[in-house]
Amino acid sequence: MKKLSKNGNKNFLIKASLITGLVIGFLIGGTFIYHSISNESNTYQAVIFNTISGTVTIVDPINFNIVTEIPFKISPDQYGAHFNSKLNKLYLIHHGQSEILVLNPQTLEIKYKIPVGENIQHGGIFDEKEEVFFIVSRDTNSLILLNTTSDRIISEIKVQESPHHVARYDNIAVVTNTKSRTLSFIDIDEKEVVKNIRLKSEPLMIVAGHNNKKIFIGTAEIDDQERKIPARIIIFDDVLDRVFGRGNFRFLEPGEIILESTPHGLALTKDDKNLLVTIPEMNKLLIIDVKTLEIIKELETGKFPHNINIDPEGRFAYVTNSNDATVAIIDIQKMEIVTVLETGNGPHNVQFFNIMGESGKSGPNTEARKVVGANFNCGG
Amino acid sequence: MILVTEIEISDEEVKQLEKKAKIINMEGEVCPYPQIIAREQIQKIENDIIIIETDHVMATKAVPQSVFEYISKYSVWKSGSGQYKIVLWKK
Amino acid sequence: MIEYSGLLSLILTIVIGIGFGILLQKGRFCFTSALRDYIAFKDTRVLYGLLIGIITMMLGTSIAYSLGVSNSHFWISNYGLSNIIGGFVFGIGMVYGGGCASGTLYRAGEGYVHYWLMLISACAGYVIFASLFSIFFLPYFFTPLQIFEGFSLIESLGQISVLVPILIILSCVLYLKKKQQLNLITNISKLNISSISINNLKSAWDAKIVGFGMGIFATLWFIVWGTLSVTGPQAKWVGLTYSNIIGIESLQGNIYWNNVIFSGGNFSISLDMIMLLFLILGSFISAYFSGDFKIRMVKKNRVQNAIIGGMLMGFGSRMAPGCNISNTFSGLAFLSVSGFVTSLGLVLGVYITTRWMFRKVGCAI
Repeated sequence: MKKLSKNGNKNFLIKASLITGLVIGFLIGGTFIYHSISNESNTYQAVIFNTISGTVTIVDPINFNIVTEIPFKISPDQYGAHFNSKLNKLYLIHHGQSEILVLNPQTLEIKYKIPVGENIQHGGIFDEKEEVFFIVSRDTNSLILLNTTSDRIISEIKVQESPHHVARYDNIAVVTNTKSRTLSFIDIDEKEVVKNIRLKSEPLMIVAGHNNKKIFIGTAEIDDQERKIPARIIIFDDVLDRVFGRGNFRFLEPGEIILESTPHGLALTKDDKNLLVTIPEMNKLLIIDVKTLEIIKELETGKFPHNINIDPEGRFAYVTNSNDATVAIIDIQKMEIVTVLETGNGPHNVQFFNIMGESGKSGPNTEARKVVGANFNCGG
Repeated sequence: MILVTEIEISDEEVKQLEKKAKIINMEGEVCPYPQIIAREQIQKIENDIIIIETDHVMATKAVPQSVFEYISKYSVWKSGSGQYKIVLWKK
Repeated sequence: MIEYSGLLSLILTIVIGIGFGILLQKGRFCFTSALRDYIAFKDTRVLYGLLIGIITMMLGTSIAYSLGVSNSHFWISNYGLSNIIGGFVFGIGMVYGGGCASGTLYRAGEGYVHYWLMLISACAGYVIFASLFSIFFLPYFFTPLQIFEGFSLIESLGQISVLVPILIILSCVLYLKKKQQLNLITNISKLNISSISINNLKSAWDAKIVGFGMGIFATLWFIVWGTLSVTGPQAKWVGLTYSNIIGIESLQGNIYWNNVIFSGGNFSISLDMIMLLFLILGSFISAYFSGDFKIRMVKKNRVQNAIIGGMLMGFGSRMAPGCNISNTFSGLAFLSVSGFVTSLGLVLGVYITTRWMFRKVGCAI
């Protein structure tokens, strides 16, 4: 049995191995270079949670292209998603349920459920180190502190009637109690309510300054006599000082801005200079100068703008238009709408995290190229 | 590639050849085993004529080529639906 | 639930499917044979046919593209190290199992239980792969490795892409003429109508002519649907069947089934799936009327070949992604980089497995 023309074979094999080696070398080299250059820890996408269609829309935060829309196994209901970047954990508050779901941030599969109080409200916040998750239970009138590592309840603090939202500055938490129309100020370390302040009308959402001690509360159009009064944003400049110092609350004069109708979403820009407010019934987003308390810009977003989420760099605000199935992306500095993208039905809020996985670049779910056919569906 | 010569033979010729040929039954074997077995066996066989019984369609093309250095000509004869006899004449 | 744009597309799909089936069966056209038999015995019977098919498809596709076929009909995958690995795994499965993706199909139509087993094993491979996709393959295989943006020379050249296959054909003709191996005139003169007899039709067809025919049909398919692919629609059939067993919600919750295979969660029967069925049917018809059909039981000692080979092919075709048809045939015809890279891995896998399987008898290369 002979092998044909040994020399001819040898040459052929050498050439073939050379080419193969070159190609593989190029691919390996390219992979290494690519991964060392790209700063992976900063990679994220804007993930919009669509409550009615039960899907998430993934948006590239650089070119604002819709990467894809994928479903996940949740029954349609209003809910709030909160991503804990320190632990790479995705919490999903099932609004109106007694539990919080923990999802896998890449696959959106339910890992497990955490039973908490009744009627958890969709707005929750983390502390600075993302070690504690603050949520309010409307039916049990309590503020719940959850340890994010163990997912165990650290403490339940009774506030006043029908709490809706919570804000935090340093070690003070502030809760809006809708039915009693009060604000509860809680000392987080002592785990007790220090003070309750009565307001003129029903407080809804609340947000605190990043680096100043101002707190901003959106209030509804109905007062305690069920009469129609103007909706407002109420601003407390130094109430937190008084809480910290256990000071005098007698001559507390909050600033206020009159609005056309009930506000919902509140967000402060990173530099604390502007406040963004959504007025759902007017299909508007307002930009308010915090110093002068003047409305400096009004933007038409889409039908029933709901929540505002600002990206980690503080450059763009994402406003979910719940009745439009769209999300409006606003350039905060230029104060203009960059684009409006179609989402699934009932977009609720937006979180920023790396749902795509390791590199976040065009992976299997992207339609980055103009050609049709996902990369793995060979032939289409 | 050196092409091997294929020739046609008649039914009677096959019957005649079968009497003095070494018959290898490869029924049920699929690629690449027909070729491997053919190459393995062909050196050990003394007979001038080898008949391989196979039902693998591909083998009718691949087997003769796989032993091209050892044969002068070959023929494929159909013995039934999906049944073939490959006749190989050793050099 | 069948989606097709018009009755004409459906009829063409059926015709193309049957055409492929007949061509593959009559030509004994298998990519495994093309590569393996060349490595083992320098047998170029199928290899030349394959090359002719690729060039024909390249020419046909670029003409159709210039005449207005949408560039969405191209399948151009991103690529990286993952392609080589996927192609390699597929190549091993191809040789060990005894057939490529298309070869397995047409031989299933000829009645080989061995290849039915391979198909079933490959389908099981798809299901297993899909369940491992989001936990493993997506984060640890594809996202780190599949990093280069896909590129196809034919697609990017647009109107002038026709020049490339013409150039290739011309240089081949010149090269062969120089080596005085081109007897084109004499060959063509042999192909007159009188030489076509029932006997000729019943016996095997020349692989070069079959390759040419495949290129033509592949171009037709490109116009009707898009890239010619086999494991893609195969996976779709598996997905549909699976969804009827365990319920469609489970698949809708799986990223691989819902977004990749049935992009957009569109769980329906598409044209390429119909084409696949008629491919097997065409092969069966061709085998039956040529007297090649026989239910061939698998040999007991080769069962592991079928199962392991099929499973490797199933995984490899998902990892590459794509099989020999979408990469080595369509991919090369499109001059797509991903096609080249995957084919390289494929050839590597074929080479190593062939050397190993033929270790007792030796290989030509």
